[in-house]
Amino acid sequence: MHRSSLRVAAVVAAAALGLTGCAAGGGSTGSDTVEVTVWHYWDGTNADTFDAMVDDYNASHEGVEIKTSNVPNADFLTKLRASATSNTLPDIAIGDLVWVPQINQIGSLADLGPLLPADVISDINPALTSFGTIDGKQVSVPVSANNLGYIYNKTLFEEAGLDPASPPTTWEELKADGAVILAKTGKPAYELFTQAGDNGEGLTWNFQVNLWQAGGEFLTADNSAAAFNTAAGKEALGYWKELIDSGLSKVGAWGELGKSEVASATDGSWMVGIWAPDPPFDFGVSTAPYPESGTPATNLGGEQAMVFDNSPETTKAAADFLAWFLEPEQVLSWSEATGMLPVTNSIATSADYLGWVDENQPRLRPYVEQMAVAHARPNTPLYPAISLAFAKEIEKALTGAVSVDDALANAEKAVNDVIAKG
Amino acid sequence: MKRSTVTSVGRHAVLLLGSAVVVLPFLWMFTTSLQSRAETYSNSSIFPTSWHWENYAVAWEAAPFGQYYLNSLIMAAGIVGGHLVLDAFAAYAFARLRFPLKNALFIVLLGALMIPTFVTVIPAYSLVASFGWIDTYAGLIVPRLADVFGIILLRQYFASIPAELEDAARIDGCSRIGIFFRIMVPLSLPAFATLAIFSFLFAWNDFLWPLLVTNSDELRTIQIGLSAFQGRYGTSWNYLMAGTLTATIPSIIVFMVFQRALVRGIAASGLKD
Repeated sequence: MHRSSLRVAAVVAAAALGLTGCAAGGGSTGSDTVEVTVWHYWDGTNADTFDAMVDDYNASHEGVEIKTSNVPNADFLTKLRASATSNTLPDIAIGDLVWVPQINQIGSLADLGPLLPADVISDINPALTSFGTIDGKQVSVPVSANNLGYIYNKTLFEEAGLDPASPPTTWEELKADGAVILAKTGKPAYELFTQAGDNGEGLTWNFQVNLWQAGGEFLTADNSAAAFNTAAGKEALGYWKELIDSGLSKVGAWGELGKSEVASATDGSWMVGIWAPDPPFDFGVSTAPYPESGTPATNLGGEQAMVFDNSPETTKAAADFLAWFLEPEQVLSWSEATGMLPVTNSIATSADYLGWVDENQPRLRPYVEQMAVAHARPNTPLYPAISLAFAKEIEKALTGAVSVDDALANAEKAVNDVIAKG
Repeated sequence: MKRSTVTSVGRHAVLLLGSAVVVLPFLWMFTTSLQSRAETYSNSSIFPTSWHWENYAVAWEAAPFGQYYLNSLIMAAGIVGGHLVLDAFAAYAFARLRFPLKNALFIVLLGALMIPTFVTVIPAYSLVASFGWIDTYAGLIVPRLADVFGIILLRQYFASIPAELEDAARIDGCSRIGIFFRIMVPLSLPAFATLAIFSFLFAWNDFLWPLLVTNSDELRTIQIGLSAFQGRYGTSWNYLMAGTLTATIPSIIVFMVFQRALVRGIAASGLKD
């Protein structure tokens, strides 16, 4: 009996010791060293590469220490919001580019325009810098990029008697090749993202590629209203509907390409990095097919870095780090190590980088070329809600519940409602 | 004779089916943990067909999982210890002591069971941040040292112990504290075991709170480490499953050891955490 009360006392004592022992652990470094904390959601190779580059920076720069922390992607905004309630925000947040307008509302972001060298900013792909421009401030700069291209299964192309070296480049060719693939292999030719799911973005950002290719816009230039209910919007959605009605595409869950159950899909450049080391099937890549009467286009993704204005010292040190990260040498080593696309024009067009691509990762070449025709999604904090509202209405056209015209009209109304509510 | 054979076969068939339902997800997890990355896309076999044991090493090397494991154990031990001690004191007060507004307070406490944790996360975070406890074991443990579920569980158990035992002890000159430690605690060990396992499972599996209050690898817990396999650009299912299986082992051990106490606890209290 006595022993058990002792045991309880021991547990309490141990807990108390453990707590006091560690409360002092949270470290501040020496007074003359500025500590800059960075939160990012990168994992695997991306995280390892970033950490290694940060170590290099710390070793070669006196008076500053960059500390990185991985915050899981699904809870990144949750953690930022919680931190914003009590001044525990990081100095730099690196997140998905569509989050920038939302993060701009969570905390006070520094204007990076005057803090970064002008030649660094002017070298960045314009679609990527325009995205972080809010109310005349440069609240974010891109650190990594990707876009959507056409990935196809070479084995299935061969089985269908098609030349795996010449994938379709237009919608018309895609439909013609697709009919052959369906007839010869019995498998759908092209995977569409047909389900809105719980955030809608999978469907929306894939659809935007075809909308832009047909000459349409998603929102008006000032993001005040839907702009997709036009002839171009009807052409793009009509194209999707035609693919589904002819059996070339299926309505259903995304992910059939990896299982070799479908011959091709529009997917991101990051898939090259994921699949290339151990390909689940023999895959080829080309630029996203566009309509003969239209223009090439793709959708931009990737990460942007934002600096929370926590103190003049940390903001300055954070901006210096980002300026370093965007220097040609670093952009090159990041792009080569991670397979992400370069954010600066000088590297994207440099012989060094293109030589590396051709030699080591030729599948990235179409993606690199597409950076010139890449569009950014609307730069508004309402975008996630808009994207979901849009996808929910478009989904109904894909399942056949409503016509193309009605779906676009309903989506226009739903999107305008979201914007009106603010 | 015949009929009893039939019922026995039928009963076993039902039990086998039940076991399969429980075991299959674990088996699938195990199978996936041994596949190459490419196979996770296409291979849907329930039984292992390839044996990439190195996935376990890769998963463990992907992050400082040893440290995560240790942090999870420290946090779980702190929370379990806190629950056993503090919940027991409060439960004893509600079960035996007489004080003003006792029943009203108990109802308020019951009401607290219905408040979702998400509602209190932000205020709790602000408090912890203002104490300077971000990225400390204190931040992980202190806000969760006591919980309503444990108080109610123990109170129900204490209330079922005959008061005559205490009366006898008091006549013999035993103090309140003495009664608590010498009579109530030893007689309630099954309830303590139940509380310990519930608290352990809660602490071990907790994700959101440790994510919010820790930033560095030195204090991160295993569940946060696992979430890194579900990246922005794709999930490494084989590594995720390898990591998850190793992270599940303590839960399975605790469950095996305390299985009886767990079932008894649910039956006695009618509550499930």
